[in-house]
Amino acid sequence: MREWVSLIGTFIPVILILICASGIFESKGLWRFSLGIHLVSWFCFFLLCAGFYSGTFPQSGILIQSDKLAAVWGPDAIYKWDYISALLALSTCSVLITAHFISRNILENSRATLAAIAAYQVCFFGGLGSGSLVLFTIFLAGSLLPRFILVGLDESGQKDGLVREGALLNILSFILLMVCVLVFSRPGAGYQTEWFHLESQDSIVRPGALGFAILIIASLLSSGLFPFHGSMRKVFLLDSLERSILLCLQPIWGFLIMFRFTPLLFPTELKEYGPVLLMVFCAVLLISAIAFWGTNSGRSRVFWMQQVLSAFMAVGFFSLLSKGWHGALTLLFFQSLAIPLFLMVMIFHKRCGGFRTLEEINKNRILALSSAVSVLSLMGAPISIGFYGFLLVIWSLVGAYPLGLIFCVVAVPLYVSAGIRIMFFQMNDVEVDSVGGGAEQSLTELLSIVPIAVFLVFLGLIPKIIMGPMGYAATALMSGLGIR
Amino acid sequence: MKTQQILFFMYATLPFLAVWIPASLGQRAKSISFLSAVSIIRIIILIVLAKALGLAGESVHLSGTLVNGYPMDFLLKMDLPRICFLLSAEFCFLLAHWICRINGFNIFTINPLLFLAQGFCSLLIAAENTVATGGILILNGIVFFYLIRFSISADRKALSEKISRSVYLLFFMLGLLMIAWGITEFGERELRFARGSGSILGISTWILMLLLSVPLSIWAKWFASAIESLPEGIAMALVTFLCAVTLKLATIYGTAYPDLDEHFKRAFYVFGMIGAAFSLSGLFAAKSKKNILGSFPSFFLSLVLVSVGVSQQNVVNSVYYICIFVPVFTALILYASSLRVETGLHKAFVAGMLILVLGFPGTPVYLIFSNVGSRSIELGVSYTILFGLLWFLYFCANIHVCRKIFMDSESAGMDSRTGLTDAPKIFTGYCLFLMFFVVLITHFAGGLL
Repeated sequence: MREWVSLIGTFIPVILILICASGIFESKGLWRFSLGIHLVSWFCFFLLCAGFYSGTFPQSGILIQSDKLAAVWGPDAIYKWDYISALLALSTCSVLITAHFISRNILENSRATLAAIAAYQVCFFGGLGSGSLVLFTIFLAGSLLPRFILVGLDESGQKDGLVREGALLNILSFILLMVCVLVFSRPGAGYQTEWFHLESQDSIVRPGALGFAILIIASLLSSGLFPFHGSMRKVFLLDSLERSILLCLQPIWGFLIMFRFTPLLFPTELKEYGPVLLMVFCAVLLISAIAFWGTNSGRSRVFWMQQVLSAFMAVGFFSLLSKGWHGALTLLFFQSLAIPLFLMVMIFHKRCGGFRTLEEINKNRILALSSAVSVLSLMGAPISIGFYGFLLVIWSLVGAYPLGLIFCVVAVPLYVSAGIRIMFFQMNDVEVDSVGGGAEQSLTELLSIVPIAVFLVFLGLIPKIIMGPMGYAATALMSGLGIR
Repeated sequence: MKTQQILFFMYATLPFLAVWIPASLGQRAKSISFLSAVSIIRIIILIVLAKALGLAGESVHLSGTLVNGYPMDFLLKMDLPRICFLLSAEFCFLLAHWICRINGFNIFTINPLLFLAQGFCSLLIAAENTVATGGILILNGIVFFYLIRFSISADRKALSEKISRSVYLLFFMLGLLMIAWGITEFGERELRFARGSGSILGISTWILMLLLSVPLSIWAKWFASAIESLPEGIAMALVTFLCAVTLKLATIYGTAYPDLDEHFKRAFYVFGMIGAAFSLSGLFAAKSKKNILGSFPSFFLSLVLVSVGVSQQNVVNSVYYICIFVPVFTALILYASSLRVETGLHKAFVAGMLILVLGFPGTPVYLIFSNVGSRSIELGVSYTILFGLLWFLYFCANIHVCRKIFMDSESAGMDSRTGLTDAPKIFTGYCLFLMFFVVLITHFAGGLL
């Protein structure tokens, strides 16, 4: 039963692709059908999360493996869901359902957009549930086309450049993953974790280090983390930010590679080079905070905020401590809700022309409160679960990585003081659609973002609901891999 | 004990529930309204708790787990000394609500934010865990950021941006330092306030926090701007919360660093003296009534540093007296700055103010100075001389204030922006009550300590 729930949740959007292609439904009917499909998907992952939370499913995850497929494919046709991937899938579904209301105009008039979203979603959930690097790479490759379509459908004058640059980096990431799959993971024969060392007069050649480097670069390209942030940057330059909502979850791909496959393939190299990479990402964190400080554009702000979050996650991962991993995983879940929420709030500000006076703010209380929640959450205020993620990552550095801690201690106040500029609803610096300020917005659309904002605040009050099982999962993952 | 815990829980959560009460229920601008019932209920709960704890001589605790597996529990403690401060704070918040309603500007947004500030103030005093304390500081920084931005009209947008930014950054840094200090100093003791390891980093962090929490005129220009420019209710709430922060940090001294090195104490003493001197000199140079009278809170808060500087193994009682007295005193001086002495009640108020400010025997000012003075005498000639000079300067400042505000015929031209000009008579009666209350509560606190 539980296997079917996860498979239905993952693959049911395929029906939507077929319906879009056949043209059975149009406009409003198609939109409603799409919403129904996503609600079914959401419900499936909700059941999955509930199962993990209640202890019905084992903490190590549920494995789905078909004997027939294994006979053909080998042991790589493993589909595995654990608490973290189920949570990420649930948050993505929630974001998609909200985006349905906000982007209604676009979705009702563009079957291609709906189909691309559905295709991307299938690949995304498939990647979340992949138990082997081979399967993951296949789903990553499958996600490239819908991603290019979503960017290509944009009405921006520079969309060709956007597609080209995004494609280059994403395809490079795919190629690097293929190299890892073919050279280092030996498809069909399981994983080898001890790589040969050639010793010569002057140096030791360690192909394991090479494979580790390739995998890390692939994950950075997929996650769009500085300095490989080109493709991610383009997501926020799309003319219609509505299409960016799903694409802004791209970093999850990269961090899945980091958390799930890097320790599996290269545990020795991870332990050896982890501290060095931690320092690198502490520097990236500081650079991102400075860039956030220096930017004036609304789109650049959300991009650099995401970069800061991603840098924190990388720092937590490479700390190789359960506290750091717990914090990083918390931030991974947090950013899957907070970044889209911020983007959605920006969309509303763009539509209504922003707030210029106190009267306009008082007239649009729902939007004002949602704006405050989204900004404060991303700034690490203790109103949401992100605060605990930041705290655990920084805490993991205390005593273990003092130099890294200094970078974080400098970056955090810089980041927060830069964020003060947008605390009082000044999320503009984006071209606005409306001439007047504080124009009326559709109540349905506004209320659609309220559940995400309320959920973030609720988790901030009772973080143990999510963080409790996540902590067990992180600890189990680390102890199972022999990392302290 | 269960009853006490239930009362404590009600006390802690009431303001956060009151945020959801529609502000339209408090429409009667000129007197106590329905929303004020929240503050009144909290005051009653505190009095009942005080009686129960006083009989048993205990404290009451509440705790909850935030995250499993880490010492990040939410632990609250209430005892009699904390109740004394909180009673003073609650009366001030009640007055702040009232004043904001008289002003009426943006009341539907100000009311919930003021309730949040009130709730966080009590949680800050009661918190026993460093991470929770740090989180509350950051949260309240956010609340005051929006309170200040929403309470100042659009024509003074640049000023509101400046003050709100300073307040938020201050509370954010305090919160961040508190969390960092907790992790480094008390990481082995479940992040609870306990005896510190005595490391230089830990002591320096605590010293920095205490210095930041006291708005010394040398570097806290925003404080003078805030007292001058903010609506009286918001200024009062801000000063009350600052006193809560200062009290929390100063009283940690006895728990964490009872053997603090003399050099650090001397540094506190010097900073406190310089801050007090600057505050009083600012008073002489001030142009408006609010500015003149607004120098006093900064002066008394500087005396907190002086008190820590003359402490032995535990902080002297004057810290409690100052933190209990300053919120009420701020309320009284803000009202005095807008007062036109017309009726007998007003004259009684002015007389009461003079008695309080001049430090007649039995008043909190007298208790503060006598406490610091007796310790100064014990410490030697130099401390005694410095203290004597300070007291003399304070006395001169009082003469200047009385002359400038109550006797000078040109004082009418010194009025700054105020919303209390049309305050009802009951307002003056309430302020008189506050004068008696603050005298009583400081004596009661002194008896406890």
